[in-house]
Parts: sequence; structure tokens; C-alpha cells
Amino acid sequence: MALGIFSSTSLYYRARYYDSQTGRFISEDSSKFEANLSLYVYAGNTPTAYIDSLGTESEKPSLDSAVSQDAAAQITVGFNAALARLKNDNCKKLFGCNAEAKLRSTTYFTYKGGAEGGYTDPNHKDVYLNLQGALFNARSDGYIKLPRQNGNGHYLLGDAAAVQAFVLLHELGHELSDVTGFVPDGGKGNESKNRDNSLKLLGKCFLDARLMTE
Amino acid sequence: MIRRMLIGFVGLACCFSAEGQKIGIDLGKVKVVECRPTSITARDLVSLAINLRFTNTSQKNVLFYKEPSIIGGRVAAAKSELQKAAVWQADMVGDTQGAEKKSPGIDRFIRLKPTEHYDFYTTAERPELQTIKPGKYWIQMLVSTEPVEFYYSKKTRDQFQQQWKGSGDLADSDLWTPPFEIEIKHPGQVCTEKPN
Repeated sequence: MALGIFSSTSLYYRARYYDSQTGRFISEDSSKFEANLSLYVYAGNTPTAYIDSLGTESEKPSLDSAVSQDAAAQITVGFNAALARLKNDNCKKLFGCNAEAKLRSTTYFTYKGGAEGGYTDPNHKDVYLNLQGALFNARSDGYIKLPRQNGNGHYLLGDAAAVQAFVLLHELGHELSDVTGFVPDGGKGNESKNRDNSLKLLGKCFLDARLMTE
Repeated sequence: MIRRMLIGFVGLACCFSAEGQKIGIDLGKVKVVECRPTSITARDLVSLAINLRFTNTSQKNVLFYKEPSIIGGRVAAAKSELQKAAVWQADMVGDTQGAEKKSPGIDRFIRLKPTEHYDFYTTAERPELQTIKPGKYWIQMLVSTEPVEFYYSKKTRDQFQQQWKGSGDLADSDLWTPPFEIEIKHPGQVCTEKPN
């Protein structure tokens, strides 16, 4: 099942499905009884306000209040997957000690533009995510193709949440460019820079990614 | 508090062509497309509607992509400050849908003879404008004039250029629009399109 289909009212959250019309999860939490609450309650049934990172914990990202519930749901899945990736030592080395704090303090906005994934605010370092872009259109197999990639290959990151984490961590790389060494990579002529930034991210934080040749 | 913002067309910039580019770009008009109050936020979503006129300023036939997109911009309080304003430039991140596999057909391009032009109307929510206060601003937009497949695969671009060489050369991308002025107002304004 593909994530990120806005017309769909059911979004898969790793272990559970969330019905955006009823505002409830419609399958049981795998941690079941540990939750000590209704099996269908997910962070108070307010996924825009709280996050359940791996289906077992709740954490809150900073979202602009205009972000829709569907969009918030997908950002939070990626946000928690990104936090999980940052616990890996290799990934930590890339982003530095303040990575988790920066991810948490970043405010995410949404807009509807062209085909790009989004923007990192050049003035305030907040992140604007394109509703037509990569994060909200992740495939369930975790497909991602980098710009001007040699060998016409693509990567499979495993699932849509990993792709969503990839997008947020790529933008975090720009936010923490002093540490990560990420260079500005938008626009024509910067395809290789964009690819190199992403390859750096893959090499440190997505060691489980599979390179597929076409 | 629910507010409304209005983007009103204030000025008109005209006629632009950069040296070395096959395609010149004229800004037709900027007009109000949407004044959307958002009841759940203190922020207003602002959309621009822009008519762009792309003119073939070269001596050759040019194959021009019919669906160019705005991929960046810069905003400043004064025209003279635009050049040093921070550039908002789209981060493609990666293709997550396999879009680069789609073969761009010739029907997605228009052939422009020298001096011929192509008019394109586009709307977009602009991140550059989402958090600024009411007032007058100068804006320049960066426009991509090639399909996203070309961004991901130079091979695809080269193959396409070779295949359709007899019809013309692909246009260069990216292009900056001329600077134009907008005014962001607060409510009470009627949200209607403003002609050129």
C-alpha cells in the first residue's frame, strides 16, 4: 500500500492504520497491554499533537498550525523515523551532537508547489515541505532515485517511513550545514551537489538501503 | 484571529533576456488568485497567479517545455535589495515515484520559431511569502523550463535532444523573471483578480 495518497483516508503507520475521517487507529497496537489504555487510542487520538515514533512512544514535532491533519500524520511518521536513525552512531557523527534538538526545534510548514521536495528557509532555517513532493508521495517499497545518479540505479529504503525520514534528514543536513558540510543544492547545475549530499546521508544513516540497478 | 491577505499587483516589469540564453522571458502579469483565510492558524496562505511569456530570442527553433515550474525566488522590501536577498531554491531531495522513468514525449514541448512566444499561466503557494508581514515587496521568481525527468537523468535529456534534433534545440533552464512588486494587504479587501 502506498503512503502519501491524499485522497486516501487510511494511512498506514507501520503497525497500524489511522483513519483520518474518524480520527482513530483501526488496528491494534503491537505493544497492546503495555499501553494500558484503549488499544485504539493513539496519543489521545490527536496525531497532529503527539507522535508515536515506532508505534509505542509519543513525541511531538513542531508543526505550523496550518498543516493539515493528513500532512501532519505523514510528517510525524518521518520525524520519528528520523529520530530513530539519529540514534545510530554513524548518523550522529554526520549531524553532530545537536541533531536531535535541531530536528525537534525545526518548524515544518507545508505548501503546494511544483515537483520539488521542499525548501529550507535561507533566513530562519525552518523547513517548508511540498505537498506534491517526495515526503508526501513516498512509495511503500521505499523507492528513491537521486539526481543524475550513475548507473541508472535507485535505492530501496524498505518502507515509506524511511523515505520520509530521508527527506527530513536531508533538510536537516542543510539546516546543520556547518556540521554536515551539506552545500546548497537546488536548481540546475546543482544536481551533483544534491546527489552528493544525499549519498553522504545514505552512507551514514541508511546503511540498510539497497542499491538497485535498472 | 482570522485574517485575509491580498496580493495585489502593483507594478509591471517587462522584457527580459539574459545573454547566452535561447529563451527570453517576459512577465505578463501577476494577479490575485487566492486570498485564503485559514481558521486554524495565525498565518495566512498566500498564492500567486502568474502569467509568464517565454519568447525565443535566438536565431534557431527552440523546443520549449509546456509546463515550466517556479522553483525558487527571492523577496526584498526594495528593488535595490533583491540582489542580496536570500534565495529560496527548491530542494529536489530525490524522486520517490520513479518519475524519471517516464519518457518525455514531444507532445509535452512546443516548437518556437525565432521571435515566437509561449504564454503560460501558473499558480503556486510560495513559501517565501508565507510568513512575511503585510506591506509592499519586490519579488523575483526562478523558473525551471525543463521536465523533472531531465533533472534526474542527463542521459534522458541528451537522448531526447538527439532524437528531436530536427525539430529544434531544448531551451535552457533555469531563468529568473524580472523583478516585480506586490502588495500584501489585510482584510476587508475584495479577493478578486486584478488585471494587468
